[in-house]
Amino acid sequence: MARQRWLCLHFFRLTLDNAKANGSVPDQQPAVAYHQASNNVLQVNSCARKVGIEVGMGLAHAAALCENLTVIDYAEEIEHSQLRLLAASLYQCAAEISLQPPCRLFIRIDNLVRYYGDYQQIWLAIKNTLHHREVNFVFACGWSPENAEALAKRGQSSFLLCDKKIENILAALPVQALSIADKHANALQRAGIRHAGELLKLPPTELGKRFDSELLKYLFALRGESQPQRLFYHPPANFSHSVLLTYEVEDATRLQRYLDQCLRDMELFLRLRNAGSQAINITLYFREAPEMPISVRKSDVRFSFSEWQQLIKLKLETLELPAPVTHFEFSSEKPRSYAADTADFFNSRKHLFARQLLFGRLAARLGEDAISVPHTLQDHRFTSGVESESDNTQDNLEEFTPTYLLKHPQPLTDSPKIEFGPVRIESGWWDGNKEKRDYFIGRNQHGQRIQIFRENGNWFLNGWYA
Amino acid sequence: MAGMPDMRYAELVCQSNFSFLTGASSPEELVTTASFIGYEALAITDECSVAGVVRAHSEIKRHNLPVKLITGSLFTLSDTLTCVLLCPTKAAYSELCRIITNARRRSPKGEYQLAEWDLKTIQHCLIIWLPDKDPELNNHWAKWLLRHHQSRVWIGVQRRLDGYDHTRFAEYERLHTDYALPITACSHALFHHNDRLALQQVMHAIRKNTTVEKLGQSAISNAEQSLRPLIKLKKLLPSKWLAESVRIASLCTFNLDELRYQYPSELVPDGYTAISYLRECVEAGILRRFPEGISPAIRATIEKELQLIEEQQYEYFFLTIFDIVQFARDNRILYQGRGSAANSVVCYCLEITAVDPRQINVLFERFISKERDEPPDIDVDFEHSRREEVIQYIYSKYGRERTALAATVISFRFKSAFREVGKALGFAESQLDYVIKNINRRDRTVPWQTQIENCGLSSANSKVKQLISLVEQIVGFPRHLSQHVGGFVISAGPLYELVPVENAAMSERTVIQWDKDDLETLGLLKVDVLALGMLTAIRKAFALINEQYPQEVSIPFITRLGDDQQVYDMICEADTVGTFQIESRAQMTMLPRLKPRCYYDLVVQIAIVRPGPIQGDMVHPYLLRRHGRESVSYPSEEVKSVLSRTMGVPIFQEQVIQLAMVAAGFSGGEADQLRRAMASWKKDGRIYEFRDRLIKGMTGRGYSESFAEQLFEQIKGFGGYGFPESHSASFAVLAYVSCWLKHYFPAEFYISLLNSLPMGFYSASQLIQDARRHHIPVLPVCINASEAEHTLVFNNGDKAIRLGMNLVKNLSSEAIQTLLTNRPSVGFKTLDHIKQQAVSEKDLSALASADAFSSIAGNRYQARWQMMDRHTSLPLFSNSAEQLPFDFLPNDTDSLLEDYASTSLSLKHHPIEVVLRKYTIKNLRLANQLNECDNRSVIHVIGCVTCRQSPGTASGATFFTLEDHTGNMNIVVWQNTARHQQQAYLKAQLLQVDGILERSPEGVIHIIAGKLTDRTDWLDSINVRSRDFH
Repeated sequence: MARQRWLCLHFFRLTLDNAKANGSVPDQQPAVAYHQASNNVLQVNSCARKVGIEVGMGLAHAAALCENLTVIDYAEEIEHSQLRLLAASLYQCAAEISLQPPCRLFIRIDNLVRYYGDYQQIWLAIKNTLHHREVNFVFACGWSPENAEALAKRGQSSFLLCDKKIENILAALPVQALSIADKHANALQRAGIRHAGELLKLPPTELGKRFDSELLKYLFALRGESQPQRLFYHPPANFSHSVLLTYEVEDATRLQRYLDQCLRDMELFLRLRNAGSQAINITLYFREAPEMPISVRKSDVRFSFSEWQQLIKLKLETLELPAPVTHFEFSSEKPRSYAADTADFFNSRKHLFARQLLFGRLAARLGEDAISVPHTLQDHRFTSGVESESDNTQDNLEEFTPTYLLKHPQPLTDSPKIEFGPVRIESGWWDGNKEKRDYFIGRNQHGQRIQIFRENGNWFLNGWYA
Repeated sequence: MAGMPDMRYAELVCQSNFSFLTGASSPEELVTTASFIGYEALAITDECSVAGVVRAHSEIKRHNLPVKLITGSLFTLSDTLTCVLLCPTKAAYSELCRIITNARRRSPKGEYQLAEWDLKTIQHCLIIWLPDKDPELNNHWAKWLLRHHQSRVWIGVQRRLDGYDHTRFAEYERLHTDYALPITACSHALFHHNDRLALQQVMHAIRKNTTVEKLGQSAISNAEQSLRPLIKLKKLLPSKWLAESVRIASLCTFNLDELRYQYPSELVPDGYTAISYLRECVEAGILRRFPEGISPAIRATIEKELQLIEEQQYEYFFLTIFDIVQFARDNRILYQGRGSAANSVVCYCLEITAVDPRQINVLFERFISKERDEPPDIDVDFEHSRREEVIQYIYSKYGRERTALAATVISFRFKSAFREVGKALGFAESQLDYVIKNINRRDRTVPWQTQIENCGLSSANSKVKQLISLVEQIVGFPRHLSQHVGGFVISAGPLYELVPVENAAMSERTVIQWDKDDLETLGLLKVDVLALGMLTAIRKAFALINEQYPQEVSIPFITRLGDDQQVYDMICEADTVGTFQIESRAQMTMLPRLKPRCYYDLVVQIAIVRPGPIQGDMVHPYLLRRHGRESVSYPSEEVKSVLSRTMGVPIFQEQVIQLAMVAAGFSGGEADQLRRAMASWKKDGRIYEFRDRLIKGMTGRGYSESFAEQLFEQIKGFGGYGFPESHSASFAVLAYVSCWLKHYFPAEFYISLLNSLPMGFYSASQLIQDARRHHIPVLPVCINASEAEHTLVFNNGDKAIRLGMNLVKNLSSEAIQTLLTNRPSVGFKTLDHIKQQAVSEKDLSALASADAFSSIAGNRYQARWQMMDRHTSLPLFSNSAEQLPFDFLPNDTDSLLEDYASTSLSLKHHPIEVVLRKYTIKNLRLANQLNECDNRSVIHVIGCVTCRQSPGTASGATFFTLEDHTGNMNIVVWQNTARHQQQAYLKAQLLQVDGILERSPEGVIHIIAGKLTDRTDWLDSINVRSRDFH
């Protein structure tokens, strides 16, 4: 039986490639993808490599080597989402694609020869597709996904078809480069078996006495003697994608360039299916605020990039962000009939978005300053709006908190009668808003209860009580 | 500022920084401020603790502060009742100690749990109740307090200006009216000055493991919980309440000086007084120690000492230690006493120490100094592996109620302060770690405050400024109490009537709440039961030797032989690796210069390579005078009396203190304060208080200012590393004994050292290399030949060392026992046989790593491969396994790396030897070739960094020891060199040094580093460990 041929594509810089594509990393700027949980730099672009930053360094070390380093958060699920997009593109060239998240995929190519004529044509088709996506990758060919993967892990690309050469390269691979459990790799190494060649020469019966069947299965696959079952990629019913932003975005219009990339991908996705979508759902995530879903709808089914781009642009211009956006999810709705749901906007949506929209409308009609939002104090300062994680608010102090607080205290012009106080607050030294004030409740000539305070011998009006 | 004439106040509720992470001022700062602003009295009331009161007490005494100290403590009972107990009398104090002890003993270290019963039993303490805001709760407690403690309870009224004063005051008034409870004012102070507010909030955040920002409203809202000026208090609180605080203070007459220590009386048999029994013990000792009779001079000294002991009432102290060492002697546990009192003839007779007075009679005069008013000092070192037996004896003899360890106060050091304050201010932990790792604390010229700039923390940033300032404030603050290494306090009655006792982290250990300085302040004695590895090693060496020869070798046997010149020859050549005290790099470079030829020279040698003499610039004058190159002169007869034994140069701590007395006119009390300030100057800088006094005193008596300055420098040098002659004398005995053993019984000596590790300066690898340089064969770990410990074997008629299985990492002691018990007399024949023993795979793997199966299973790879075969351990297959050939061979590098990984040493190869097979360095010199190099020539060397030392005395230089396969090399790295090559300086394990060779007239060789190159990657590259590429 002829051996199968598999191509392994390893996208070793996917997060950075994506950042580059959406313009968040300039060309000549050192950048790294950083995994916070392990404090490891996982991906390094060539500029960063030049200044000595290497994969595996801690962030502080990397930052010390380069003062203008761009750091992009690495998230496995985001990278996986990227990989799915790549698979979707490659699905145009090949049917048997197997994903190995977060950053590898395998394509069976021996059965494509009859469509493309020869291996070179196949490779050109795949290469062209990837070229458009502007991603960095290494590739290797082998008898099985396992075999191709092991060869690709060398870090050198090779489209080898000669069995002898594959054998030679495989034999020289260190045991650690194989996808076997660490404990097995260690055990082998500690018995002096350092290279794949040495391992593959050992009689399976001897290995069977010492290791589990998983290892043996893997070794057979590595030799191309068996093909473990795999799940192949199937394109999803509708388009969806997650994007981790390089920087937190405060201004909604700055989301445009990230969304453009999604729209292009969606356009391709829909066009291939000869379909369109009636709505796009975007969920924005913030570091310190609940997520915000946004929906952009059209009255009829559309797929074109430019049409959707127009709409989204308009949407973003009016969109107020409660906090900087850290990442978002983008998805298209399935194609629908024209009989769209025209129910009242607020009927079914009672979440933050609706509230935001209401405020937006009110603000548009009455002016920004006319709208104020009740706010609970989180530290001792009456001027503060600091968010607190712990449940540290004390009820009693609320009696002393004015119902209406001035944004900027005003110098006191009349002489109110002091009814209560002083309450001395010395706080805020840690956030640059240090204050040392004596607060009082007073009653002014109009009989209004007011909060006043004294700072450095001067008196100020701070708010009114209802 | 004086107090206002019509205004008096006593602060009755005040927590110092001994309420860990709550109080933000030290007890000293609090009493000083209280006295400055005119308070009548200050109660230090740390939470369930009296750990800070002695420091406050001592500060008041030292400066004669016009403020009364009240001892008390604050308690919270199940979050519903907060109150402060104050001690009006000694009985109340004992009561408080008992309550604290009970509450603390119920809880793990650092916590407490008060029971209602504890409060119910109060009969003497005064109670200041700090009511809650909840009226219902208050009603309950008001009734409860009245029922149990009427006439001893006050409501403690606080005015905090935090917005709740009106609620609180209404509640105070209500309680006063409803229950007729008297009211007193208090501030519940947490710091002495309002500028400590930020620090208090930071500590609060550290305690809550959060940031200051996130503390929100749980942080205190202003700086009112401080020691506020009287004038302000008068504005804030009614004068009758203020006056009540003074009235309460006047009821408190207890002073810590009243505490008297009672020794356990059972030490003295019926029919004896303490002194008569001590005398009898000494007389019995004389017969043992001086079988040939004693000279009149020694008799006179003994009489003088006994008289002094009686006058100072130290009989019990000596008897306690005598009792402990008797136990050790009966159980053949080796020990050695040291300290000022230990070197008395009385202690020699009581066999507390082995320092023979006939050898060093010069020491006797410096026995307990009445003039200097010092407490007697006897530390007893025991074999480190058997000290626990001694401790258990003490516990069993006196009972846990009467015995506890002294505390050690663990303080914030730079690293912990920087990390914790940084976290509280919201800096990322990874950033803090990075900065900490990259700060060179050895660099004394560039302070850390500047160095952090290079790590990306700009001091222009206000947050960084806050970090710096807060770290500076918190460094030195107590963090928690830990146990002293071996200082026991033993008392006649329950200890908790004298001082509170709490649980230590170690189970079955209890500690008191005071540290050794506190004990000294109060004149309480502790018995130091310390552990010393060298004693274990010496005892093991004696055991090995005494098995072979009829003449029993012991410390007295060796010292009785007198000074052996062959041993001193070895010492003068600095061939002292592994010996006691004179084995360090610094000591070894001094040996050829000082050239010790007798016991007292060793006493000096041990003391001279210390910060005191080096900083005081006393080393060179001493060497010059010793070798006759400078004449010995004395500025006066008094000085001569102090310095004659060290050729006019002050070397020992006692000498500088005596000089302060004879040359600068210090009184005994002042001299004792000076000694204590010396011990703690790094912590509090108190020593500078003595500077002017010393220099004026000396110049006034006609001594040159430069001599006085030098002496002060030396005093500073002793700070923290105080090294008295009395200790040196005891150490010199052990140093000599260890050298004697190394010279005459090297194999036994190395085996004993190796079996006593961890101890001393050198690793097993270094000791074994030294042994091999002394032509002692060392045989590897072998499954059929090794015991658990290293053993003495005969190899072709020569004594050799057989490494023991204990050396193998990850090998359990149970496995060793099983294998040794089941090992046939002819040894195991096959690996399968071993696999059938009840030994885990992990243990077998550890043995294979150590190549312990080489005698039966080939190399370690083959052994592992055989072991991995699961079938052969099944009975059915055990005989069938005809193994297929497996011919993987470890190369030298593999063997080296595995040897190091499994036993931390290799008998076959040295890393440098292996590295040099692959890499070449032009004009490289090995350690054994240095002697052939010209002085001041340029030289290139490479070695494993085995030691990095940066003594405070070396004006910023760091000393590296590099080891190659031929020996060790001493490298000196100056500060500038280090700073410019920081990565290699801080991190290299394999270091190439290009520098200049310097040879002293005595032949001591140093290499002054120019260029440092980190070659650690060479070691990695010879290891064929592969990398994962992406």
